[in-house]
Amino acid sequence: MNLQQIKKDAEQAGFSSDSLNLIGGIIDEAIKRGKLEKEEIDRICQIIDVEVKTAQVIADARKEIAAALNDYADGLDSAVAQAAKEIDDAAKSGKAG
Amino acid sequence: MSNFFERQTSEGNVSHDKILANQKDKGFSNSDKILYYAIKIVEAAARSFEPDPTLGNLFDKKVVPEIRKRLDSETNAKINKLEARLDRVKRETKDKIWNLVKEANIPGLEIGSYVEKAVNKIDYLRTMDKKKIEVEPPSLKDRIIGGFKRLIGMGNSARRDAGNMDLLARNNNVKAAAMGMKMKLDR
Repeated sequence: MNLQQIKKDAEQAGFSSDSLNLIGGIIDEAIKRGKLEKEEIDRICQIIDVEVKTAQVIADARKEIAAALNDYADGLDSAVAQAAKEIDDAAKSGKAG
Repeated sequence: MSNFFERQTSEGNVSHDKILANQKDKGFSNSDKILYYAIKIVEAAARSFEPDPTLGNLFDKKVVPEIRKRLDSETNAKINKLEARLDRVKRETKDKIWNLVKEANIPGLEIGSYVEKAVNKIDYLRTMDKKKIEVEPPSLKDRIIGGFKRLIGMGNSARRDAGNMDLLARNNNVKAAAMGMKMKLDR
């Protein structure tokens, strides 16, 4: 098992800095010993699982934010369009100036 | 050609202010106030404010409160509802991540930075791209108008940023990387 490669993979995966530090620390210790123990593999897998789950939570949150902004923007867009129409109508009515 | 503050009419370029002043007694609907006060605020801002590197702060502290004061109650209620919704998403996201970390019970894993990152991102989205306003064009007036247009539209880029493309890509990257790492660890 190429421990340096696994460490590099973790760095490129887009994990949080806390997880990266933790995984990096475990692998660094393993490199010194020349071996990754079973418990360490399990711990790294647990951290990876948390990362995947949190990434999903963030994805869901951002979807909801997008939906909220869209709802609000739709309301404002129609209000602004209506306002622009009324101003145009007012200008066309010839009483503008 | 008319500028942002004017409309072309058969009588030449006429300011929105004048058009609306002459129509005052006709009773505009609530929706006109958004554009009317937007124009008034942008005009006032363009005249009054000195170039300021912290235009984002200016929007937060001066322009936005002014607009809020002048918007009708229905529009303000919509803004309040949106803010409450974003606050809820922020709170729930933070709680969910902390719960995941707590349940995982991994010594040394706190993911504080992950929560901060997520919450900051939500704050960033709700401030409607202030960073871009701060670095954008040379003219203060242009910057304010540009900023205000974003404010009115709640920032298309913020919406796009919050949209599915990049988050799905990120999510897939994390999943793919996670699977790859697990496979290597299992060998």
